Amino acid sequence: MKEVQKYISSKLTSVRDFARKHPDAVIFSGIVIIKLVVLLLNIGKYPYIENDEATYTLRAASFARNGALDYYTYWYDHAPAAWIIMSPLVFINSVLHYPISNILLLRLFTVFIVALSTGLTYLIGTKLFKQRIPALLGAALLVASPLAAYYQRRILLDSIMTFLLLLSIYLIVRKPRKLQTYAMSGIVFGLAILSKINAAFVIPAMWLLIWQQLNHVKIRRHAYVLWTLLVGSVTSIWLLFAALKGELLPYNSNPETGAFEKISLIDTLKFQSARGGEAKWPWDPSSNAYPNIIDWFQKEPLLIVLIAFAFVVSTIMLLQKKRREQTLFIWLVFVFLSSFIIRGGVVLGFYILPLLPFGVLLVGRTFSPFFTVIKRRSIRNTLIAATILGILIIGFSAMSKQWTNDETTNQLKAVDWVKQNVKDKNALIISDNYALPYLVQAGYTNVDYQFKVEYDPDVNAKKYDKDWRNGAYMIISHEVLRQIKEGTTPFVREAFDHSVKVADFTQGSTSYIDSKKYISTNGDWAQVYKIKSDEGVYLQDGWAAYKQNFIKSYGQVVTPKDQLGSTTRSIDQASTMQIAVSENDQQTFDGVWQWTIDHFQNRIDDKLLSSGWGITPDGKEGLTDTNTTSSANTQAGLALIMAHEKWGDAKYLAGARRLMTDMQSKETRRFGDKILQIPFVTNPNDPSYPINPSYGDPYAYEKFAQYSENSGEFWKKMATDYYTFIASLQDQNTSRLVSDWVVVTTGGTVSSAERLIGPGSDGYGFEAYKIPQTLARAKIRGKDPRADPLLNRFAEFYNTQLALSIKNKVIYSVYGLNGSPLVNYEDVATNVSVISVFKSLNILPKSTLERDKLVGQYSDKKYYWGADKANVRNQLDMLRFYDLFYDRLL
Amino acid sequence: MTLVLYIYFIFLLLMILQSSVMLYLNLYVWLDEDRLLDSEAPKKFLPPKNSFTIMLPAYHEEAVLGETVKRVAKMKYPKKLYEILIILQPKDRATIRIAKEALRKNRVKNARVLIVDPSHTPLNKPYQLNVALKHTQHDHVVIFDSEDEVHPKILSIADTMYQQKDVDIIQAGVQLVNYADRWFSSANVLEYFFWFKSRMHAHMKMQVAPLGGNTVFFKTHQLREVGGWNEHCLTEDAEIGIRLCEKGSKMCATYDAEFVTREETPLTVGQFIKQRTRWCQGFLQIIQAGTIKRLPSRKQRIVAYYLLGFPMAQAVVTLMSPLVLFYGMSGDMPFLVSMLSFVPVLLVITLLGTQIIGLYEFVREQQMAFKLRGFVWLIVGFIPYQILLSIGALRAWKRQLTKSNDWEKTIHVGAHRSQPVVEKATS
Repeated sequence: MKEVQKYISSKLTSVRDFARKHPDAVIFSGIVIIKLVVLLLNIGKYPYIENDEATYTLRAASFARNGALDYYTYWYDHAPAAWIIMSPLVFINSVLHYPISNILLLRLFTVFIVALSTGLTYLIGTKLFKQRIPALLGAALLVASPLAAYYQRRILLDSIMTFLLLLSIYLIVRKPRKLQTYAMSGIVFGLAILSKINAAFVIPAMWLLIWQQLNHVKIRRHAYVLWTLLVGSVTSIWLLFAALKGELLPYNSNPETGAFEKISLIDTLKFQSARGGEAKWPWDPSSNAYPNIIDWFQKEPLLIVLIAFAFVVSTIMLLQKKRREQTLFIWLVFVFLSSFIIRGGVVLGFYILPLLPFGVLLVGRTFSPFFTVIKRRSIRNTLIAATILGILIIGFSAMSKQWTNDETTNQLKAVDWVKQNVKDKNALIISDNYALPYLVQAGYTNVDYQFKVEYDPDVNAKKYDKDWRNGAYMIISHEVLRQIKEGTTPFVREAFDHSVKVADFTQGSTSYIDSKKYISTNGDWAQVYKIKSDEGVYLQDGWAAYKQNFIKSYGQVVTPKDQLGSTTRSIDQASTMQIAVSENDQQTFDGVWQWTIDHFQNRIDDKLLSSGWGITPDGKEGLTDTNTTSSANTQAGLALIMAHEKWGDAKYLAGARRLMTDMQSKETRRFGDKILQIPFVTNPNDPSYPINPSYGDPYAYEKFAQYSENSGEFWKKMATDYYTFIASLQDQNTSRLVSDWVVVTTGGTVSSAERLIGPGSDGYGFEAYKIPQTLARAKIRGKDPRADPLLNRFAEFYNTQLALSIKNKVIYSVYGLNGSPLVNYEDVATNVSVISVFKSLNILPKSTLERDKLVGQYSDKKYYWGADKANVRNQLDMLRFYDLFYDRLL
Repeated sequence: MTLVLYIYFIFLLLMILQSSVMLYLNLYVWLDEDRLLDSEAPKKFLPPKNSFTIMLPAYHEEAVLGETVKRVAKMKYPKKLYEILIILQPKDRATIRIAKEALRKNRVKNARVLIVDPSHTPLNKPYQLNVALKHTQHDHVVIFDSEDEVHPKILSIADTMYQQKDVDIIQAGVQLVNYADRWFSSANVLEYFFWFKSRMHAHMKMQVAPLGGNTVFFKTHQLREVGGWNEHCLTEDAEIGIRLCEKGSKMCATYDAEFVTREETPLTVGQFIKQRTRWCQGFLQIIQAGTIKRLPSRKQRIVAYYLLGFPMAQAVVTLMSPLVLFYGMSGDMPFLVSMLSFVPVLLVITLLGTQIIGLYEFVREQQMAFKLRGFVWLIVGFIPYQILLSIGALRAWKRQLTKSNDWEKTIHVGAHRSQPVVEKATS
């Protein structure tokens, strides 16, 4: 026991002796350890993983794996030393099969580097000021700075550059002063520049430091030359590398697009320095520095005020020769590094990192006289200790958020979602960069950083063929929205605008998120979106174009004038409402329905809709067709039920029920044993009625039955009778076609409508073509098997026609009931019917038929179908077709 | 491809190593302020205690010997404590006449002219020195060449150093001075400058040094113990240095701009190449003779091989460099190898930078006029100078292989004597 005590006592004595002999080494170690602990707490969860962190991690991994300077084509946006320095760690991690993620590993490395930087700041302060008090005060401020810690927790070039810069300075100020340490300082400084080139701003200050530190003129001469040449040599390696690859000299960029057709280091530097516009004073609110200064101030107001105050005082100190020598170097470094921030160009929050060590040293230097004037050592030391303790308490209490908040779990959950749900490892995924290191490591070969998707020809052209529709998924984050909002990524924005959210990880996020307006205020969340299929995109864009082309005022669907002078028809209003529901566009739905109520629902006896609005014979705007169109009422009723189902608002259901009631009493009649829909309100005592078979809609009837308060059976019978009626019409001819109009007596006898309606009404034309579409919807949406036999009969006819015209696969728009064409043209709308039949039966005869007939008609840039964008029928039929057949996520 | 790449990679590493070591040795004395101060001559001289024999071997040096005799005769050192031995060959009548005339004119009493045996083979400088060694009457021996411009206080410096330090051999500074006479002069001057001012101190610290041919002080008994100079070696000065190291003699060096022995650069490229050839061949002879193997420590052996083999390695590197650089720039290299390709070039540029500063310092120290052409030639002639060195090294190989061991004499005209002489007041 005594021996143990003796051993411990001897050890304590030796530690005490060491501390007495090397107090700075002890203080340095203490600073490093405290800073390390401060930063290590919660390092994996705070702050959220930022784009740059992922960029450098990926680059380090690429260098470790195959010696490449970038995961993508290296374009000299940054010099590569920092990630080359980090790459061995990543390599070891890969050899050990990734016990921790590369990002976490490099965060740990950065934190270690930063802790050393804080210690070096202290050592530099003691050497330059020749006293410990200013260095201690500065180091304490740096240890306890929440502003510094926020950025220092991240994998940033600035942290590595700052460390190298401080190390380079320390090698000059340390004793004994030897030429080889100056040479080492030059090499380290060169690496600092190659980590981030703004270190080059400090070179004049470094020359001054060498001058100040070396008294022997002969050694100073060599020190200057050696230091400068070694800085130049190390730095020039980057330039030589570019030269070797033929990527140094400027290349004539495309003046129209501004895009680099070939990589050039000089072009990139020009581009980087031009980013963000002209130089402005930092107090100018329109400058790039201003918002950052405000942000820094908000993060740690006391430190910013102290540094600003110390800078002013130090500037005055420079006038005093006695104090100038000690302060000038730090002051100059601070000024040179600040000039990088106020130079114009892009300024990011973490640009403050290199400034902080020098800023806090200025603060320490400024306030140290308050302590040194105290003669009694015990009082002075107590006061210093209390001040440092106060700094630490204030700083740490402001830092508690960093130790407890979780900003990365949502991000990582989004990554996990992709791993679990996207089985195709070759799927094209547009991503916030943070996810790349994880997904690349997991074997996803085509997950790409949003900026690369936007600008890198190797990605944009080669992988995406310059078409975002080739993408499959998007990982959306704060940064992605920010860039879209700033307008820097229009290609990505298009993809995002045509995507649907499939996974949301925003739990516990402190961010305000408005994806539609591309607004996010913090990066602690992530979402996964699926880019729509071509058809989904057509639907979305077609709908947007449709609204622009046809919907006026607050909801009037305006089309070319028909023979009654109508420019707006109730059927188009109703169809538009249905598409609005499908597109989840409640605002448009409400507008169109309100316009319909305001202008068409004005009959005294019922709530049925009038048919047409336009310029009346007296030249005024008004109703041009006051009678009803039963198909419009049916479709409007269905649209209101769909709206109710989608948005859950009872007012829609109430509106639908009013229409259903009036339709039941005024637009349906019993014909023998069947109840059929008549085309408009007419005399209830007529012995026979013209019937338009395409006005009926069994899917709508079934919905009416579902939501009707007391007429469910009635509407069910309507549906059943509709199928029977159409089948009976098909049975009347060998072609199995159905005529546009028929006349049916109340006894149920069917005859030609030509005498009543006019020539052509016996043909299968621009009315009856809708029947297959209606049946297809009943089959697909209503899952009604009764539609199948009817659809099969249409399919038989179409197949016969396709067989007859092998070459061009034409199906004409109008046929006689004997199956012979009555016109020699085809049409988008009638082709929709053809494809609807085949697709609903899943017997599309030729895989290309669909594209040939329909997609071929689509104008990609103008977003409409057919030659005439004013043809509302084409647009509505196509929108309905895509809505019916394509799940937007497929 | 892979094998070529590996060879290339190793070659690059060797080039980097060699350039780095050269840079380190060139700057050795400036690395540390204390070291720089320590390398200079003592500023205060102790009362004279040691006695010296000045050996002045000459052959066909009638143009310069007279002045040299005059200078050594006027040493600021007690006459009784030093003697001058002028060692000449009987057939060299002109030089004999000049030597005797100089002694007479300057009324030199403590000097003797020794005429060596003409029948001796080989009849060369080491033989002349060995003859003189037999006639030496003093504790220490110092050698000067007939063209040397010797500082009158050099004996006082050596005497003080012997009294202050526990050393056996002192290599004092020798400096070529006519830096702007020919295109290769500045580079040649700087070779001496860095060699004697810096590198020699590093060699001495490692206790292995190929000594210079003059201004080197020995203890007479040690010379006798090792049997004097090797008459069959073309660089007898370097050879005896290695042998004395083997015996454990302690060495030190001193370089002080004021006290250096001043010499001239060769007159022509041909003379320069011949001089280099002789040195390189001499080094080869030492390596082949196995003298190095007998050095007591491994570190000494490695250093000795490096120092004596350096000119040959330098030649190979210089001649291979264009090929290496071409391959490095044209080949599809891995990133690290591509980057390494540049490092030797950058090191050479750094080396050139230090040479420019060295030349500046030399001119200032020697209080000479700044001649721009000297600096321009240093930069422009950097590569051609390396080629000259390589040619000398290759010739040495050839001569050694063909067993041509004759002495190719360097002609001296006393060009260095037109340069101003640094004379500072010393206490």
